[in-house]
Amino acid sequence: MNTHKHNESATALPPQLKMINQIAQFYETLPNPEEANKKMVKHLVAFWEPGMFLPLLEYLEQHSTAENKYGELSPFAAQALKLYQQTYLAPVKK
Amino acid sequence: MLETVLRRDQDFGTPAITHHLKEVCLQIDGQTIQVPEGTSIMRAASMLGLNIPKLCATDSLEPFGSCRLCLVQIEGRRGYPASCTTLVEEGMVVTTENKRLADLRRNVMELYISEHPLDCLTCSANGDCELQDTAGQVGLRQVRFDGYDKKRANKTTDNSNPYFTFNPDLCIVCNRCVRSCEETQGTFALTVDGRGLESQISTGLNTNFKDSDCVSCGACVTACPTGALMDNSVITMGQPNHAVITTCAYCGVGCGLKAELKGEELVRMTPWKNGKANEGHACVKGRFAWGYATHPDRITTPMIRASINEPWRKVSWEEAINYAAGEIKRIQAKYGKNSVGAISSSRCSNEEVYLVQKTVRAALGNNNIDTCARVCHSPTGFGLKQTLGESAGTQTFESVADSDVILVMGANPTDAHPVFGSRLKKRLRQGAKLIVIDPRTISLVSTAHAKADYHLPLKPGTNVAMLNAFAHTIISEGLQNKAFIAGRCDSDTFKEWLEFILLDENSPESAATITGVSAQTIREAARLFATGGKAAIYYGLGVTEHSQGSTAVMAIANLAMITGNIGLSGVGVNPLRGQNNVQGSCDMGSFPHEFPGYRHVSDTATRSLFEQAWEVKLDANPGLRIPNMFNAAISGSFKGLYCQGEDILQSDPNTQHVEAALANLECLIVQDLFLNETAKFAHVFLPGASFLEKDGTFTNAERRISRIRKVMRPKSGMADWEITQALSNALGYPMQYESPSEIMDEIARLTPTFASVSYAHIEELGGSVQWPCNPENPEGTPIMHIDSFPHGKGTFVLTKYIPTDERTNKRFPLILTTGRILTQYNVGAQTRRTSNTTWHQEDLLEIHPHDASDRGIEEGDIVQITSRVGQIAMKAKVSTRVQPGVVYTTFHHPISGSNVITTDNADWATSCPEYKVTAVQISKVESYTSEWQNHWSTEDKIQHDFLTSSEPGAHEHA
Repeated sequence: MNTHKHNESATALPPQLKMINQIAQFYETLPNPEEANKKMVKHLVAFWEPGMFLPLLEYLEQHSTAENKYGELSPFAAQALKLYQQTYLAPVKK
Repeated sequence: MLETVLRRDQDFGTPAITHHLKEVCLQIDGQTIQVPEGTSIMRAASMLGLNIPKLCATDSLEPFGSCRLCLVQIEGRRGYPASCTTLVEEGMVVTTENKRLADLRRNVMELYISEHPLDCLTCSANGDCELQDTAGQVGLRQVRFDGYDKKRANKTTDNSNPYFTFNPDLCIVCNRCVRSCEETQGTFALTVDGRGLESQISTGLNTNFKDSDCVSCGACVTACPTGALMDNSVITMGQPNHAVITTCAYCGVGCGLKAELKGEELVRMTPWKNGKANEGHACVKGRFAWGYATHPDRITTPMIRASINEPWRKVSWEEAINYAAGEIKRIQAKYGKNSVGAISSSRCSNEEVYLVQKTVRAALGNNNIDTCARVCHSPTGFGLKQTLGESAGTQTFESVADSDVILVMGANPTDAHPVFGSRLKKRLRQGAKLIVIDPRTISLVSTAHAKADYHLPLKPGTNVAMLNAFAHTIISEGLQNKAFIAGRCDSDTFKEWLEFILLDENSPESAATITGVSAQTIREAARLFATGGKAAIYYGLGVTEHSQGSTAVMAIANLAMITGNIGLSGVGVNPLRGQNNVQGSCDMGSFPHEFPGYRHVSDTATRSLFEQAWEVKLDANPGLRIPNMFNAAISGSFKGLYCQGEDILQSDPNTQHVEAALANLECLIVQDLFLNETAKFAHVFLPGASFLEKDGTFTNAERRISRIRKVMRPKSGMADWEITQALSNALGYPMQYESPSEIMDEIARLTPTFASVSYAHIEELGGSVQWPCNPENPEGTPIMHIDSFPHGKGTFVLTKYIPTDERTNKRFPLILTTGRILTQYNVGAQTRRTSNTTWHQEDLLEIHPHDASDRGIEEGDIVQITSRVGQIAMKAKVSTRVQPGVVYTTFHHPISGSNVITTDNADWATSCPEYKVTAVQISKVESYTSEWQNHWSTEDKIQHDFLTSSEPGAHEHA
């Protein structure tokens, strides 16, 4: 089968990255940033299959350094991921 | 009418009066009747059961008064007025039959018959001919004049249309065809050429039906009282002898159709007069293109194979189902519960898609269920829920008859929703104003007897900027409906939105730079929308299939709310939903995040309700959407898919990505009528049933639930719901429905908006009902949000314009947008297997003359289309329907590979693909060869060989 190579290699960006950046672009336009952050997390939890967060959380961990702040993730998206972690995952991570 | 052939529905002669202020009482032949003011005497008599002889009158058309057969006498008046053109008056005393009238009628009929061949017995209209009936009614015995031979000179039969024949010999020039093409269809393709005995119906100078403006809707054929315009199938087969009412399986208009049959064989489909969506009209697809159900390509035996590189093996239903279930169980055991899922069909019935989502939730134990709404109107579901509180359009189709201003955005109703398009055009001819927002110059912009007051040809991808500019104009010029906003809308969200919309970036002046439409035009159009009276918005995939699709839908809802255009006939937000049952598929919870009735899977109360009813624990987390399924397949966590009636490989974007995903699946189960593109990657093929082969219901874009009825036994032996039921049982979750009616009863028990729906109730209500239909609204809900929104007050959402990631540059300077045409339907699986291919044998690339000449391209040249994602080749059509910088094509033929070049850009909220904006470059080439198309041709041949070489499976067990 002729399958064109997509960004499937291990170093490629997870497809969810583009999705979350796009969602962040919408929520960033709302006037109150804290409220907007909460709304974005609510949206993600309402529409995303839980497994979809994992590659992004991994990415966030790998890229949260002083030099390449969040890598390709937008800052707003990164904030939402952090809030998601705190709200939905923290209790499990004992 | 005899009992041996199908009885015609009663024809009242002239149209029913829809709006009237008072009733009139009169006497006809000694009987008294009270009718609405504006009714004709003919209609009033018909309501009494008195059938006044007529030929040129029919109740779908305004009276014409030419045949002079329907004469009556009115006490106190001279002469013999025609009862079709004479309106009732209070106290009138009418006689419909006496010697004088009988003589006059006989003389008129004699003149008609003097020009008509006398071979009734072998004529195709025998048994269903109004001329024959009327001649019998008036008692014609002798014909003293001979005009027939004179008439025969210079008249040839027109066979150009594949579905019907025009035989001018049999024409009585009653003008019904011309009038129906004007009044019902609105195309104005016919006229009468010549005078007296030379009169002939004509499609225009030197044209025939096929070459002319005729869109083959069949309205003229239905209206014709003789055999002059006759379905070819009736000419070959004779008159049908019984009929069953059903609903069309093509677009979201959902026309009521009458399947006219001989035994189990369909003779023809005629539009059902009492179908509330269509009121006796249809289009070329529903009316004529039903032959695919019996096409030789139909697969009627289940097939399985271990690998996609092997031939198919024909097997029994039991073996196929058990194999499929076995594979799913094996995959779940190996890769986890979430490694399998399903896609339900938007062409299958409500009952069938309900069973698919139930199978996924109850038998597979996850929420990995999605439907094709993902790629078309999912932004509508999201956007309208956020703002208006319900994921559906607000009106009936009939409502357009009350509109004063109609805004059509990103839709081409004359091509994609033709019967609704005809209603729209009728209203325009009555004087309503039209605003069209579309990059293309669609037919509506300038059509026979109707022109758009404003056409705003914006650049693809700039919808939100345009809508914001409209709202900005309306608010800044003080044209908003303050009472509605104060009374019906949430004041907090409105205040926030007000501040946002008045920003400079949302002004028409800013929008002009972004959209390419002048600020003045935008302002004028916005003013018209706000002040022109009742204003309705109709929109389609040109709004939703964008990276800001959901945002645009919310902007549309914002516009409707600030102008108070909600809650009455003639206004509203109207998404033109594409498929016959995509609304139903969504209503039935074919979504990874929602149960039936749009209730979130995390909602404990709802989930408990289903857990109790279904006796199984249900997953509370959202599942995978179709694009997520593909990504998961590529990354290796998604391995099994049950795909019902959906050809994702042809219809989803970025074909090579979808191919890669499907190739990674360990078990792909396809349930369909034909071997489609997706089936080439399948391991199990379950032959489905067409809409003619099963009972059920479809829900159209008006939220109207209508019946489909079985007219022939399923060719494969099982209806689609029976197949899903068998699969669920084999997976270990028992289902024992005996009929689709039982399934609907369960849906009603578990879904508040459907609580009073049942087959019996649908019958009682005349054949269809619009949801919500429950104890609060026992007769259904034609218009929504009349007093309040489901969540109380309307919500405003900020809709900032964010340009798409897909940018043009030197390498890809043009924007490709995609769409549909009238005669083919979506991936063409059905229409390509009918004579509709006469009109559209291949997808063409429409390119503006400037862009064409820049590249040395002429009409008919083969061109290469390249995007960042892929490359294909197609024939070019030079056209001013597109603007410079924009090109357009359709996706009806798999070999075109239109989706090889579309990207994975998608709507931020719903992942609805951005089909409408792809940056491309076009160049002339010598031949069709593009790498992908060569690959497609090779693989297509291999897979078709696998099909034709399929052996019946050898199995030891019964």
